[in-house]
Amino acid sequence: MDKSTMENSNEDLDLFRSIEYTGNGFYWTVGFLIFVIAFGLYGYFHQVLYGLGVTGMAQPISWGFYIVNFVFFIGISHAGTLISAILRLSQAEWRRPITRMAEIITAIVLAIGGLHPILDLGQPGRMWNLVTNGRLQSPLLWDVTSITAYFAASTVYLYLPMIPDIAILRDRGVKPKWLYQFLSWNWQDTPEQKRVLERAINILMIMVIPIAVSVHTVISYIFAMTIQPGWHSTIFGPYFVAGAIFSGIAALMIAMIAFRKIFHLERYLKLIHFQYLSTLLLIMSIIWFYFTFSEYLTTFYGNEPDEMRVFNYKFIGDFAPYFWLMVFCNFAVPVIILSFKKTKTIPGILVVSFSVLIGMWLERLIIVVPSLANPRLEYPVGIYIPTITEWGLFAAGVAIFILGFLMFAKYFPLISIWEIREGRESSIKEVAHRLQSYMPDTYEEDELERALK
Amino acid sequence: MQESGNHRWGMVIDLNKCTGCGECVAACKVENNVAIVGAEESEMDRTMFWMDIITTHEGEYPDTEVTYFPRPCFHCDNPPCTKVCPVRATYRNDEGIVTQIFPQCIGCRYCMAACPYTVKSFNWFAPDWPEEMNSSLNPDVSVRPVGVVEKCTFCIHRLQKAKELARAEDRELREGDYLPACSESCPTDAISFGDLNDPHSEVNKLAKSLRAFRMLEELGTEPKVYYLSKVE
Amino acid sequence: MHDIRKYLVTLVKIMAIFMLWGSSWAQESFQPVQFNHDYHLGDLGLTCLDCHKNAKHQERASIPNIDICSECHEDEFDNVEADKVFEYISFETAIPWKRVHRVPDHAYFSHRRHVQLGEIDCIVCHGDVEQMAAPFERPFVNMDMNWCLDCHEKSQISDECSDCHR
Repeated sequence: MDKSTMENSNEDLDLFRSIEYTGNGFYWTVGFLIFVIAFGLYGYFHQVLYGLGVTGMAQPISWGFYIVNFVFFIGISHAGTLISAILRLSQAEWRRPITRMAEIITAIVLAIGGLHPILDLGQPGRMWNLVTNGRLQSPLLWDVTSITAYFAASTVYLYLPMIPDIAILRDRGVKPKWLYQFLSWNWQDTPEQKRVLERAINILMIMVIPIAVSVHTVISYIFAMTIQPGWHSTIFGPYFVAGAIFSGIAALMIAMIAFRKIFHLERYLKLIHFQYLSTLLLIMSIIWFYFTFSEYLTTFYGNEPDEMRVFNYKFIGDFAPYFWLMVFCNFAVPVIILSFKKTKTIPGILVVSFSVLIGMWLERLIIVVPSLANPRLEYPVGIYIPTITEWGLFAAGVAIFILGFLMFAKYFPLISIWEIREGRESSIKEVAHRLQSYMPDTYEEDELERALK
Repeated sequence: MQESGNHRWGMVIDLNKCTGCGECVAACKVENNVAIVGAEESEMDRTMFWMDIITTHEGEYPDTEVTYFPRPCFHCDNPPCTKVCPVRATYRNDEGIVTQIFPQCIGCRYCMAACPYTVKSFNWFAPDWPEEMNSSLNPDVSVRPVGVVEKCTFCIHRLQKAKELARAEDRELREGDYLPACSESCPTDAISFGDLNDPHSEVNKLAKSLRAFRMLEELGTEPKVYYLSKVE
Repeated sequence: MHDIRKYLVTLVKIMAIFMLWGSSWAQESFQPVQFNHDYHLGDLGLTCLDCHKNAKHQERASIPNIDICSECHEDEFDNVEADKVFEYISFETAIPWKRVHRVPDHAYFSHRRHVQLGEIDCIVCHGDVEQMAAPFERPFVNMDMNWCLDCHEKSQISDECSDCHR
């Protein structure tokens, strides 16, 4: 290592703290999370043993928490890779401390969300049928395909930019040595290696965006492809994608705030980062409202009886408290808090993020249950009260997410060290150069040549 | 083996004749080993019917008009449920019957969510009969395991047997050879069943009657169960 | 060293006991009577349908019981197994045969379809019964769906799910 990088690595000592220092709090948290997960697993074994009857689902509400949480978790997974890829692609320089965390959220939550349909199966032992007898005409198979693709792409996209950081850890002699030795893939920071890595990241970043969009579009298709009132809607694809990014940003900011607080990373995760992200969140909130408004206005104006039964069930019926709470959480809270500089602070942003997560979870619930509760034929309206098993598995899902995030933070830097260094060393010049090229009185070199000819 | 594809099985239910007695519901439950759930489960809306009766009320008391709609699976020609099945556990066969292949079903319940008529039931728990009843189960129909979706199959096991008998006797399938349990048991003959492709069959004639209509026809699912509307 | 040898010897003894016990357990006959197909078919010249009377015209082939056995077993024969049969007959109790060939209840299998209409020989599914001196303990072939479909495909018979599943 030459002198300048030595200095920098001293500067970035804060970033190693989560790896090199383990407090009691860590063990307590992990213990608690494992307890919650064990409780959820117990519930699941109970369910496998006795059948799905241990849940609150019934006729006609045959889908409940599992599908709701499936859509919710997959939605959060959009935080990551999509945001990170878009920020990288648009060369937003403020992305540097954020991208890694966003990508981890994607990888972990996607794994959790992807497992949810399995919780929902009546015969999980026959899952292999999806491979041997899968029908590609079924939207569920589209899901299986695109979630698998997204998981593969996003884990690679998480891993590749981590290689230089793993090499830094390896060179520092962090234990377990074999892990970093193995994962660093003999990274020596040579220009050739850097060139290859950059190229790989660029290819992946462009590939990942359409896959990410497809994932949530396809999830919405599960509902939209049926002819059920409240589901059969053309805007469901973009509506779900927008909602996914919306809840994803909220989850990302909660993770950032918690991490910054625990490891005192105020120097890296600055207020400006949160303000940029919360502006994005505000935009998404307005987009979300726009979609919701269009969706329900068309239903209301069309006034089709079957559709209206579901509509009324949401607006003034049994689900009205949830519906209006959702509108409050997803629209009122973000718009009010984030519009004023005075409230656009870290605590304010934290409140908004939690509010959005609750609101978006409610939105998934409001999409899944009311349509099922109001069958077209003259049956009584269904009721759905989730049981302790379902709540337990929901809690376990959240706990697995936190645990995964913690374990990751224990072994790998949550903020990309080399990208921070790169930003410090070369990007300022680059950005200055780029800015200059936007100006009317400067020429790109090739443009200059052309002008001279 | 059998000359499939020549038939298109369908049902016509005359609402004028139906008294809502529930014989078809009972016959269906017994014929098809449809699980009996306890009172507690029933309270949770988990009762299972392959044939159910939907009751509609019109007008204010005392001038109410009550109509009973016996409701089997409608065996749509364009079924929304089979389209979404991820494992081909339900599909429409060449003779128009929408069948359930129970050992193939993974229990995702997508078909239940997609069916606009909500005719499908799910085995939330493993079916459980009182010990004495085990020997009265119909051996011709499988007892479904926990975690699979089921629904009316137009008593397809009766078709399998009827076809075999006809072939053993070296003749064509005749009208009346194959009747589902509901149709056979109806005391007022409200439920007729037969081949809609056969120009001489009773169902074919009834289905062309001016009184004939189908449930939620506007959805384009092309159900093969017709109702004959009530007339005074 | 000596201890280890002692230990090994004990272990071998225990294993031997277990093996003896296991083999004696296996020898206990599976079926109530050691019915000899070879003798009845080969030496006496009976055919399958003489006893399995429904195999051609019914869904189930039927396992013969005392009402059929008694047609010949009117008296004691000079054979232990035959005596057992005679005992069942004289006490008018059914022989508790164990059913070995079984198709799951979600599949429609009919002997008539296969024997009468399909003209398939018994030996195709049940093996060369004429050579069997002992009754069935396990099915001749593992009757799973792939096995069914193999034959259906070869003979170009319908492979529609709903033709068999119910």
